[in-house]
Amino acid sequence: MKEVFAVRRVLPVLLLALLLLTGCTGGREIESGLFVISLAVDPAPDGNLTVTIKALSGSLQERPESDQKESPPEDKTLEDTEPGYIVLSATAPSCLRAFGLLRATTPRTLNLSQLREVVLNRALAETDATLPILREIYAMFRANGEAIVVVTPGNAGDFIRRQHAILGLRLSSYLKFLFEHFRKIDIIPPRPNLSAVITSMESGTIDAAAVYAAGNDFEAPLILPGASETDRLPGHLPRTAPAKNEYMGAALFDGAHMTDVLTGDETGLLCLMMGQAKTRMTVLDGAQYKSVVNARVKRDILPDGTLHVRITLRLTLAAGTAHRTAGMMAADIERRCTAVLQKMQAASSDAAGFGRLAVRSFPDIPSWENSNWDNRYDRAPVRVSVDVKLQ
Amino acid sequence: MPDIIDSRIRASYRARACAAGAAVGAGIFAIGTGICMTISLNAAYLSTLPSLLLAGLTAFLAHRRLRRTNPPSCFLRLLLALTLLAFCAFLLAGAVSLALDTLLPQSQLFTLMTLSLAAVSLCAASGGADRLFFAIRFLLPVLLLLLTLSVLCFDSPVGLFPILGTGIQPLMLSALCALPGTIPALLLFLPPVELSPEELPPRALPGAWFFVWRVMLGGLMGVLLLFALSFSSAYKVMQSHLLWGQRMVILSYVRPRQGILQALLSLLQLLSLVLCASSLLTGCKQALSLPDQKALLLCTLVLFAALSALTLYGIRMVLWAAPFLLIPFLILLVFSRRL
Amino acid sequence: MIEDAVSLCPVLSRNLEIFSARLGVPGNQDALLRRFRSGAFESALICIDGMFNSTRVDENILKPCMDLPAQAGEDVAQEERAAFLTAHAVSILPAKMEDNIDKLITHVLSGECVLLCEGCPTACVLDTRGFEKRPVSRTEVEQVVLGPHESFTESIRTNVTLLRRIVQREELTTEFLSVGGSMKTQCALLYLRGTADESMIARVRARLQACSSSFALTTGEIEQLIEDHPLALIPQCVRTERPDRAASFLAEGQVIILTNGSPAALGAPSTLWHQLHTPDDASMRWQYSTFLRIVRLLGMLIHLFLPGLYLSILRFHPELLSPILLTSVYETNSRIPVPVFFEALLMTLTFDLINEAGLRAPGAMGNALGIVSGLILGQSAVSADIVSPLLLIVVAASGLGSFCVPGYALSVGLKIVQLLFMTAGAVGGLYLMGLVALVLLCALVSMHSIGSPLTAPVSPHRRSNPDILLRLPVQFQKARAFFARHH
Repeated sequence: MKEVFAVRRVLPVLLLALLLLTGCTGGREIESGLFVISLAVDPAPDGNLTVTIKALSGSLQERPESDQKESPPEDKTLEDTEPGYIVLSATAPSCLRAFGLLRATTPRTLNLSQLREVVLNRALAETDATLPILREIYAMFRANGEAIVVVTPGNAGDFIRRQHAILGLRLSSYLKFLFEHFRKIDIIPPRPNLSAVITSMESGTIDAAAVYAAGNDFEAPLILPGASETDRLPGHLPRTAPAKNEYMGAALFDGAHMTDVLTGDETGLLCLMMGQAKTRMTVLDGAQYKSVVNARVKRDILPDGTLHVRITLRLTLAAGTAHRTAGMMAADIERRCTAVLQKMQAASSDAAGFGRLAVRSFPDIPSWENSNWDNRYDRAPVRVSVDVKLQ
Repeated sequence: MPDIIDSRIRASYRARACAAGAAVGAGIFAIGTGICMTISLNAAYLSTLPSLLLAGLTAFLAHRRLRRTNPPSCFLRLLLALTLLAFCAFLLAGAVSLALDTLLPQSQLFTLMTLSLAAVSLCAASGGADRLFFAIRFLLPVLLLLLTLSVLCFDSPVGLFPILGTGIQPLMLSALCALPGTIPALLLFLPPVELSPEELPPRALPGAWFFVWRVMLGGLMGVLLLFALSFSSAYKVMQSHLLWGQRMVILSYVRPRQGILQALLSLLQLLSLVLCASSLLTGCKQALSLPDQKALLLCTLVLFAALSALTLYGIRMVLWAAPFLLIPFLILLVFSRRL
Repeated sequence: MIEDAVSLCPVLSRNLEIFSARLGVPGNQDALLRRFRSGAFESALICIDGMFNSTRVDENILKPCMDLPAQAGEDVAQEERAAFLTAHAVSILPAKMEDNIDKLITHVLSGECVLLCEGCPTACVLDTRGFEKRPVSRTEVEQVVLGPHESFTESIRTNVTLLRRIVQREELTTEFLSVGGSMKTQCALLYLRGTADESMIARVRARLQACSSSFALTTGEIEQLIEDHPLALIPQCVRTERPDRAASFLAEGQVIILTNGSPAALGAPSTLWHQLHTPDDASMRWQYSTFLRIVRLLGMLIHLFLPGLYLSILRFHPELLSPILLTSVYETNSRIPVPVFFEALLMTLTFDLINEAGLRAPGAMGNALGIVSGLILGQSAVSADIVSPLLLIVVAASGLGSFCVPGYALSVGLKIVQLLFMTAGAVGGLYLMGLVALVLLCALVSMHSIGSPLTAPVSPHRRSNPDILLRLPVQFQKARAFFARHH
């Protein structure tokens, strides 16, 4: 009886809650969403921005037979795309308004929760507009924080239009595997995903490093000019013109704007210096060496302000003939790491995160902000100590 | 036979102490993210440490009061009820803010408020919140810790430095504002709901430490979660989080397992806040000297009115009002013997 | 009026008129009233045709009484005549004396015979029951791999006997009660004196005696009438058709209620954990039973939450899906004409329909019905793009999980809870599912079973054996249940 009485009392509250449920919790059928897989932002004339998205279309319809026969590459239009995906673009004064246009003209609701990559044109990345654009994408449209930020020198919209999956996968999963593969061979920086890039841009103790994907001219030699013989080529994003070579690397940022590029090899060294190197294979002077254990890396700032990195490597010869001693290898790695650090200093980009070490010696935020770390970083001497043990 | 009854009474006190401890942890976390983080940024967890001591002191005073048999003062009981009710509204507002920012971003604020209030009322009607807390006294903190550890990135303690946040003075102000986070410890002034008149205190009352360490451990959970927040977010990122719900999200740059772990952690945080609010509502209706159902209905209606006002004028109102709850809290502690 | 008489009178013919009026003789042709000469006085036997063992009545009552010498019982006081016959002629055990007409009618209706004597205001009740009843057979619902296979029957006497064969202790007490209003049902209350708590026994007894119903009560109805929370979805007493399990309840200090006409025993008070345990658990090694309990628990959780999770993720949290799964679901659902919630409800209802139809269809047809319906309906629905294949898998997995729940009553209750979670998931996503779970859990921990907390000894804490969710070795299980009497 007591129970019945209690139910009667609470029932009005429950009913009131139920009355408010209909249509107010925002649930939507999954097919009403437009799941964006790739997003590209390009500058447009008159200070506008062009936003291009590649999204799931929801159907696996084959193209008509007339479109399927082989045609020369030069006849293919920019709108050719993989079955199951559609490409839409909009141009507006800001990224926000471009998204608004896309929402208004598309009968489905934009959903960025499955976003795999955000591609920015280099010209745009070199301005201060990068951070607001990325923030809008992440915060306002709740984009997937794991989406990889890619900077490309060419047209970013073309970049995503021409991406096709291979190996029997759909593009959405193929991109994920592709970037995981690049990360495993250390030709892209350790944290190029959207949330990490935004955090780095905002934090003030580390600078962001995004993926840089570029292509060489078709006529150029296979090795990048000025690159060492161990530079990694080719990393590639699939394109419809397989003859073109591309390389991957890192786009360095100073705060919110891009300042320089690291090649794939240099990116590998950056990963090593950050203690984030995943590859266990090193090729030096025609011989392949394998790491026995993960490299031990210690970064610190010496009392005189020197940025110091200490690396300990244990290597064993896996293939080829060893022409170098451990000391020679250590010296070579020291030289190259020092060059990378100096390049980053010249670009005012603390992608290695020395600022995170520097901030520890300050008790509070005002004293840290008054210390003018950016200037100190640019001028600090660098030193890399490498200890190689060959087994 | 008396031993059996005494062990059952102790079990009731244990459940009440677990509920109070969990609610203190939730309170510290909510007030830490709502207010302390805006003042001292990444040093918010440090500023909530004095609250642990206050929680222990409250538990000690509660034990001292329970040992006495003098009748409670009506005014103080009413003040206790209002304080618990206000903090219940605070926790509910926090839960709704977190839900809006994580699991249900596209829903309406009023709908979420009403749903949460309905759930809290139903839980308080059944009176099982204390027992449920006792049942999950190990599971909840273990799950919270496991999920938190799994979503954190350990390559660098990004947000811990500078260690004092915005400075010593803001830290002290933040510590003062964090003190109301221990209001849920006032639950211990009320004997457990299921005790019959012959089982009321001081019969079989456990020692003071029985309550003190449970409450402090619960509060420590809240401090640890704030520490995890600092660990994962740089101070500048915290500055950019304008919404209360955004500040409560423990998120590093990684999103393991497609974000499932992150979603589970947010859900666990939400449910903990709601359940703690339910405990407070149970305590509030117990403090009012009214028949059980009338008290619940009255409290629910007052909460509904308060939450509706928050919907209209913004959740920030509850953040501004929270530090002022320190006044009735201190009055209750000072006059605890007459409670 | 003659029907209002309460007690017997010394005049035999008057008593026979009362019984004739009450039993509707001669209209009611089942009621037999047989007068005969037993020594120096007249007697009469009242019984119901078909309910008594005619050989026993003939050989042990009528013949010995009618064979008495003509002067036998001459010097016996009139009020002692029934006792005289019991002592010198009737050779049936047991026999008791009764003078209340209502009680005598009840005995007659249950198959016993009532012996009346001229001049005697008390009658002798003789247990001559001999009606047809189902023999002890294998269990149908609580089937086990190891362990005994006997099950209770509809005869209360047989059921008490089955228990006494297992619990051979002098403390085992059987109280027979007539429960109900105008149509009484015979119940037996069994407990171990000194083990079961007296106050708990008194509570159970009082609740049984307070049952008033105008129709015959089954075990299920009695359960609903005596439990603390009749509106709850979870049963608060544990029902079993196995004597061995009932015996283990007795040993723990519970009370067993047997009902005439129902092949099940009710154990009270019980906890939620009793309903999650199977009889096999005690018979197996602790590692096997612990493992199987975990599997059962997982099955139960899948049954409760999987469909709701599916709906909540699709409608509110698609970011939690992996890209491969999302693409598949997205393309499939684009072709489905109904919203996913209705699709899920439809498939769940279909599954329940197939289940019910399989139960009601006779014999082998029931088995084939389930398989064919599932295959044809499911396959056709997917081919016709009415449901998505993933939803079909979800509903099937959930259905399998429901079969892991040991108690049938609990499994039906959980089906309703599953619907609640599905609705919550479709309307409010993971958050609303969590809120519903909280409300249900709070209600669950505050429930009682005949005054004992339902979720004890987990919460509130009570001393117990390590045999709640996980089962530790038998050697560690020495404590009595918390609701037993403690010295």
